[in-house]
Amino acid sequence: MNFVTPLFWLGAFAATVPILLHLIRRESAQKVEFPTLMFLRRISKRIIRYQKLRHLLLLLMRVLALLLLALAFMRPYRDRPRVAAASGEPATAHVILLDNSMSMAHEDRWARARDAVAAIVRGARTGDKVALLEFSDRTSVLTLPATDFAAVLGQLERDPQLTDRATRYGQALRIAEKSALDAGTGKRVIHLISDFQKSGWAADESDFRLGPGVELQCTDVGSDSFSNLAIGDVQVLENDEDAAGGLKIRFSVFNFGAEDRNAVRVSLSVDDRILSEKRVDTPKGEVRGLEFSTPTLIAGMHRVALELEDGRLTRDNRFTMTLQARTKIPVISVESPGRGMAGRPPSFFLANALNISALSPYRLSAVTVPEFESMGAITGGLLIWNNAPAGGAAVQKKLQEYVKGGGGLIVVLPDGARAPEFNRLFASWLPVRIEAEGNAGRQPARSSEGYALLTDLRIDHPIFQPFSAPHAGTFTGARFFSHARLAVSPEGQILARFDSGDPALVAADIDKGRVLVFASSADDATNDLPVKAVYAPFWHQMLRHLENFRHEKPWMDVGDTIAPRKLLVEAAVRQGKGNLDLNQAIVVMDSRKERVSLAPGSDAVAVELAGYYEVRTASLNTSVAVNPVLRESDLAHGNPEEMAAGWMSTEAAAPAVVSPDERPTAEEQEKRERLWRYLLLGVLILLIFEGLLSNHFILRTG
Amino acid sequence: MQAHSTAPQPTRFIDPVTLTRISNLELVARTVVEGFISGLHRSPRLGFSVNFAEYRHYHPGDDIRRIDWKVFGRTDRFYVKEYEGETNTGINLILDCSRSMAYGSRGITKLEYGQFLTACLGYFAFNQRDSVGFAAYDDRIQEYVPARGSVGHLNTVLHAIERLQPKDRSRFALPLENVAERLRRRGIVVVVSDLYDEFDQVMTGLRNLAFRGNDIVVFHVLDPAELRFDFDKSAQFVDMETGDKMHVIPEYLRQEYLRLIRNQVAAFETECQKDRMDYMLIDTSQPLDQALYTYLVRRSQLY
Repeated sequence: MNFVTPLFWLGAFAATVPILLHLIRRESAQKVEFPTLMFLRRISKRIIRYQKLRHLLLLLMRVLALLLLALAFMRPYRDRPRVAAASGEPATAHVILLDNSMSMAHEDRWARARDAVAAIVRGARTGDKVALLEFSDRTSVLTLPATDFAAVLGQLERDPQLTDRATRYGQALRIAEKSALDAGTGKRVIHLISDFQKSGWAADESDFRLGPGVELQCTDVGSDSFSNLAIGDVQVLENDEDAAGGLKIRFSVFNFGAEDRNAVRVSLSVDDRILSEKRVDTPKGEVRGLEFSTPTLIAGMHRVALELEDGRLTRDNRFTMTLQARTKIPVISVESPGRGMAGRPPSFFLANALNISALSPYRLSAVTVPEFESMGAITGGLLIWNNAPAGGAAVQKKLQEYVKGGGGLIVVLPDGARAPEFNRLFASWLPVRIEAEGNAGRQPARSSEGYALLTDLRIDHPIFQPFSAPHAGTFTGARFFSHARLAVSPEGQILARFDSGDPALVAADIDKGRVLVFASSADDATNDLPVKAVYAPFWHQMLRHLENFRHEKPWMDVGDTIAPRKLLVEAAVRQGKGNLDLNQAIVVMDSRKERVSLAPGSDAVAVELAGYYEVRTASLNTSVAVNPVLRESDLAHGNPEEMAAGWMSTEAAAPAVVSPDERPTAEEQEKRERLWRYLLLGVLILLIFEGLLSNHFILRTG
Repeated sequence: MQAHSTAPQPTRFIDPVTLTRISNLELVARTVVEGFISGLHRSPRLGFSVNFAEYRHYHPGDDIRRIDWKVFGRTDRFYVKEYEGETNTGINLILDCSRSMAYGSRGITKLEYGQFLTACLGYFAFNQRDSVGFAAYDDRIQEYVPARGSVGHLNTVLHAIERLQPKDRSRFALPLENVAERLRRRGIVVVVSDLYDEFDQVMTGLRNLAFRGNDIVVFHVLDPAELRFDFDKSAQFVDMETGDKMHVIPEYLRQEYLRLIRNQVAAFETECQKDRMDYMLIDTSQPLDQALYTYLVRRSQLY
């Protein structure tokens, strides 16, 4: 509060006039001799007090009216920054960064952090601006820099909620710095309230520095003595020992604390039923591997959870998954039985690769061309034309209808022996021809070693993507002793070549279906790929590509995005359902039975809390499991001073000055000075009341 | 009875303030009483010393000069004629001379007014050949003149009245009991006071006086300021009897004070009526003979 004409405060002395008159009149009262005071003394003290109170009220009204009048003439106005400046220091922007990551749920850290925020807000001077931001690996601005501290405290009561997200300091400090600079104050302070996890500082943010003129003050609610257990490194594997198709779930229990934890109970539950329990001793700072086995799961989605007992930080005690147990997809290999090597059927290696275990989604069966011809229309499954005769027009028509209807077909051409037949029948609807040149299309190896190698793999293609990572499998050891020389039209997509330059694998989309042409054999007739480690994954990848299969991770991390429509479409495909009303898709957090709002203008939502989420529409639902990021469970405590020193600018701080932007415009100034009108109005109302009251008393007392 | 219809005009009465300019109390009494009696001549049915009362049989020892011979001639029996004036009695005037009686806001104090009133009553009674006694008291008896009807006694009474000075605070029970003990004959007792004591104490004193069969007449003398409380400025009020002080804002207390005074007067009226006493509130701004007239009207209703 400031005043345009402060000297008018002298007018406040006028308020003493009624008081002085009252006192003077009281002191100088003349003495009157009266026969007796016995009646006067009998008059009730209550009446006297009431009379005095009435007149005291009149006195107060008069004094107040005079004070308000003086105040109105002083022309008060609100100019908080100037008040702060008048105290000798420029106004300060306090940008409060409140860590709401999962680690803040440890014991009483969250409560202490909120108390620290409240203390900072209450400690701000008049004219300062306060902003409140919450951060984890995402930063949200709860209140912009403002002088309304009550609003910030109100926001502190309502909004900040703990999340299960991980901590990221760099991004939060960047946003806080921008917020502080935008506040338009002479001094800027970022208050970082966190548990200062070491894991919160990412390597790619190490070169971040706050700008000059921005001060960083840290409030550490963390501790060097802590204890936390978490589940990580979860793997879902097939159970080799279970012929019925059970699963093995391997995982690790991490002890991030500074004390040994013994006999910790760990359990496995499927669909909310505990199936197995174990006790584990975990020394401090160490990891213990564990494994659970599940029975064979019936087809459909199952909620699988690993849970341990740890009272210190409970949010990372449960690791959830959704496992989709699928029915086997039939794969038909059309082949000529006598054309395999050493009396083996041509699909010998394929059968071993696809019928590998109960975990494999495929079940291979071999048929001859006549058998295939005699089969009815093929509506599901996949088809491998394994170096079989092209068959008649009826067979080709059947194949075309199958593919164009959404089927998947792999044509295996070990050499050019069937070139005329292939070119006559398959080439009419496939973008591939076999170049029959010399030796009946059989091409000798180009290299001196007598074989060709696979090169030029399209590792960005879904088929080869899993092999792109180091040590994820290599095709370089596979030798191809002969192959069919393919000529590919533009509609075809060459995914791999032999080192001779000939296409080795060609993909093509035919209407709704997909076709792959492999220019070598599926067994060891023309190559030694079947005895290489990549054989089975390679064929699985080709079949997945044909069925348009998308591998789904059994869980998501906190902070990932749930796209309900997409999930429902995929679930509908898996379950063979149609007629989805995607506009009614909702996401419900299962544990709280709360609907999760989608981001405005988006059909996706970033999940903040771990647990199961149900995505549903009127006719279909599916589940998503969400888990905290493991590194957030590591509560290793950093040194706030060192961390702050790393974030602070090495340049000299900017001088604290009042920004020119703080000077109000004439309109703003007039708006701020508007208070005098209300004060005069108050004086008027007071005087009216005083007059009415006074007249009333006069009439009452005669 | 018919007194009200023949009442003299108030304008004819002498203002009490005017009386204060007359230094001789006897002169004051004579002025007031004679003026008063001259007004009474208009009403021949009033007065009590010259009126025929009744005939009674002659008893041995009666003065034979009082035998009505005309009645003897008609009836052949001796009858004696009796007059009311022959019912002479003693009148004792008791005047409060406490310090509160020294209050006067209109040029005459209550004590002066009381002196005039008692002097007039004494003069009046003496002319009727009644014996007149006088007593003055505050917290004890200050003056006492026994009732006598001898020549020159009036001067004694008037002198006692005239020399009175307000002395101490008033008490009722004990002084009036002492007076009552000194009264030998039953008669009329006139009490002139502002009655400033506890109500029960006042009534106890009055009842002591009435105990011996006396007829009690109470003149409650108050100043107009006490009756109206028409002060307009806040002031330090000092109790004239006790010296206690109290800051008073009259406008705060006026309503309540007047209510209390009215209640007090009403209470005296009620209690006196119960005890067959005459009670009369007199405002010192009222003329004296008006008070006398009002009193005599009431007395006439009793005889």
